[in-house]
Amino acid sequence: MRRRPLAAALAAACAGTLLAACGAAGATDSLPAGTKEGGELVYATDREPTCLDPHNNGDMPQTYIARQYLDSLVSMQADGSVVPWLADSWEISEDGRTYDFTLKQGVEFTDGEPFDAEAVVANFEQIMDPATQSSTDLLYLSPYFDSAEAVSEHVVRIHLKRPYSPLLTVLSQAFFGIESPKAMARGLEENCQSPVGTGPFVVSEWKRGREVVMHRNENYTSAPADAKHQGPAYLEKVTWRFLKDNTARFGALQSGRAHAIFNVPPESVPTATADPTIATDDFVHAGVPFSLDLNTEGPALSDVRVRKAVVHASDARGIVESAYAGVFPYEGNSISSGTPTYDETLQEPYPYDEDTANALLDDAGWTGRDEEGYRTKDGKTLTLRLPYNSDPGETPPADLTIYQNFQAMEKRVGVEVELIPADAATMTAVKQDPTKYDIQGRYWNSPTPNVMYIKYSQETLDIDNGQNVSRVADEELDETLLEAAATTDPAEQDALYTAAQERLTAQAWHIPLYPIQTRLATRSDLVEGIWIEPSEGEPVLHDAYLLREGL
Amino acid sequence: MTILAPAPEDTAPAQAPQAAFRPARRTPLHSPGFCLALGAVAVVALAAVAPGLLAHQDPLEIHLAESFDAPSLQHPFGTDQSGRDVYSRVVHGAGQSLVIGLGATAIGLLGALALGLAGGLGGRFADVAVTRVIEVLYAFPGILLALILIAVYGNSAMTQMVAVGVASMPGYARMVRGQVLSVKGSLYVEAARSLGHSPLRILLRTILPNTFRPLTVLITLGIGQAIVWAAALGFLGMGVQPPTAEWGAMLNAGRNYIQMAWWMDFFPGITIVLFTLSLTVIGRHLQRATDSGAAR
Repeated sequence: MRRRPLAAALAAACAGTLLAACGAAGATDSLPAGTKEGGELVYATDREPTCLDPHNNGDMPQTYIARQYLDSLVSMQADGSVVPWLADSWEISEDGRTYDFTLKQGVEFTDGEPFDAEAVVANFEQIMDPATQSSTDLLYLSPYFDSAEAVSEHVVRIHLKRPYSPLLTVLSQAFFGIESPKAMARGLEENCQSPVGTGPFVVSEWKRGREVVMHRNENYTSAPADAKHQGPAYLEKVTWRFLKDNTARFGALQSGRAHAIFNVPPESVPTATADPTIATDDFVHAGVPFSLDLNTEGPALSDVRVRKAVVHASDARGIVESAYAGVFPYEGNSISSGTPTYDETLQEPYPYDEDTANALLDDAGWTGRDEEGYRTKDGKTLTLRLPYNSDPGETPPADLTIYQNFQAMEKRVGVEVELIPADAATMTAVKQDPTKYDIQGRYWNSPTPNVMYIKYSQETLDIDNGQNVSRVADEELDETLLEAAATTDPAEQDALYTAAQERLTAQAWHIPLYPIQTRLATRSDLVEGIWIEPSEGEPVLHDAYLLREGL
Repeated sequence: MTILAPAPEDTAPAQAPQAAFRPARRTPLHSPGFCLALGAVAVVALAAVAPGLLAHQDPLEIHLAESFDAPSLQHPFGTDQSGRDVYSRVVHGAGQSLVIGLGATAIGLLGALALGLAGGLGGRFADVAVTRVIEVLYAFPGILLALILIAVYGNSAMTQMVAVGVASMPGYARMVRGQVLSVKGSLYVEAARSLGHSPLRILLRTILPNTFRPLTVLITLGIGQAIVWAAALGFLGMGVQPPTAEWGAMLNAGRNYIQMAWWMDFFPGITIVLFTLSLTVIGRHLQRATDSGAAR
């Protein structure tokens, strides 16, 4: 279905007039009877990004907003395949090192710039430029990416240093949304405040600490092939509000001040389920589950016996099920169940076992005891420092409970866990200095099992602020994962990624706890049509429409 | 301000006519409200000094299978999100709260005495300076002043105590200054001076005691106030950090689960209310006792 010029023109003409009048005029036949175009949707979420441009840094809250105003080259399906989006088609060379994308024609950025091959090249250049302070994007690209070139006006070619089979799924994420070269040229600061794309909405204003206001892109022509409708969004305006406090956010949904919220706090799930006007949509992220990463450069945790003892003693399943009141499942494998090639036999590799933990610690030489009953070796107490972000809204209450539970469980085998509350600035410093922590709670959402290379390879050890917080430097793991990236044969990929999961589990470099979940809750009596795309669990508002005006 | 007027025996005749209209009062200890309040404070004090006598379970011991258990015989106040006994945590939290309350009051009072004495006795210049300092401190709401201090010096029980202490300082300081000024001009200080006592002796033996007496009431009320402030800071995530048992921090943790586990907030909350209420009752009682003592 192509864009309907009449509807778009009508909508544009009505933009300044009363909504009621506009609604009737702009109604489209694709919407159910009794509903209409237009209106404002209030979407309340927990975390506010530090920058709207998702190429900078690259944290989850950035992708969620970026999905509303940026388009990517391809769009990922639940089964891991991709369909056309800004790229109509693509060709991959025999050796897997050259990708030719043929781009959609007639697309414009919302600042009037044409979308063409040069624009895509400019995006890759901006991502690779250190000044952009890309982190997520660099971790995905820099081990493989060589260069991008505009072959013709609508064909862009990407050269890779070595084959990278997950490239298409990687590029489907809003982290790789295509931005206007003119807007990017304004510099990082301005682009953070008001990035420009080709997407269904346009960022109008970002009131920091409060909300991002977006308006409909009346000329939208570039919806992905898997969108529920083509052409401009039904909604006229989206208010993307930041409500950090779990109770307040859920209250906003209950009272109807928000049409949809993300995330539903786990403690409110029973209430949400019981409420007939609240519909919840759960999405289990692929990638590395929320885990306690064990710093292998630390004096105690460099010993695999100590790491295994810590995992055995933690009662990982118990601490998750208690803290998340059974709402989040336990996940003990190094990648989440939704990730391709997930090996379910590794679901609970280290069940709770105090005796084994004690035996392992004795064996590792931590046999002394200090006056508080903690284990010692050569006069040193077995103390593990666990810093966490104590700024409001940053560490979910249930995660804080997990830390406390973990601390109490480890105490039983004589391991002292020191919980260190820290503000965001201190946490950034901690992440960059492996001598400042022994354990950190981290996760990494990603559509590909190759995420293990990002989290645990030597090559990514020092890219940006060290996502490899376990400080793993393991030849065997690196080779396995690079080999997996080089092959396109699914069976071979499966075998190699399984070997990687086994290696990670055997070395106990981290304590996986639960898969990250997107829990979207909507007022089903007010709004319809919000869906979650599968690459990063981004909510899609392009197809959403209001069932009735006002609250 | 009459309630805070100096009340030494020798000035009593001046207030005698007022006392004539006052209805006869029961002696302090017979008032049941006062007894209850005294009892409550005694229990909290006992909990602070020897929590093991009142609660036998470890406040930090977790029982993962027993999280969010409703109040029962085994857990009279229920359990929290880690299966810790809320009753034990309330009992063990008394020490934290009391230490912070008393410590903060002591810090506030010490600072206030220094400021107030300097203002009251230091001459015009010092007085103007002290008054300005007090006014500046007063310009910030107490809790805001405490928040600023914690933001600068970080989260810990110590900064929480100092922050609340400093925040309560201007109130005390203004009182001390006024008191010192009025005592300084009294006849008995004049008398002490004409007896040839040294200024230091007059300060320590005459001015200080007579300044302090009316302050005792204020201190009793102030401890309650300090505990509420400390709890407020704990509730905001400032000060004592998890898993330490502290009433305000417990309220904060329980807030998230209020729809499914009301007891996590109810019991620490009611404890704060009852304890500060008791301190207020005692404070008011002392106040009346001081007044009638002055009238006798």
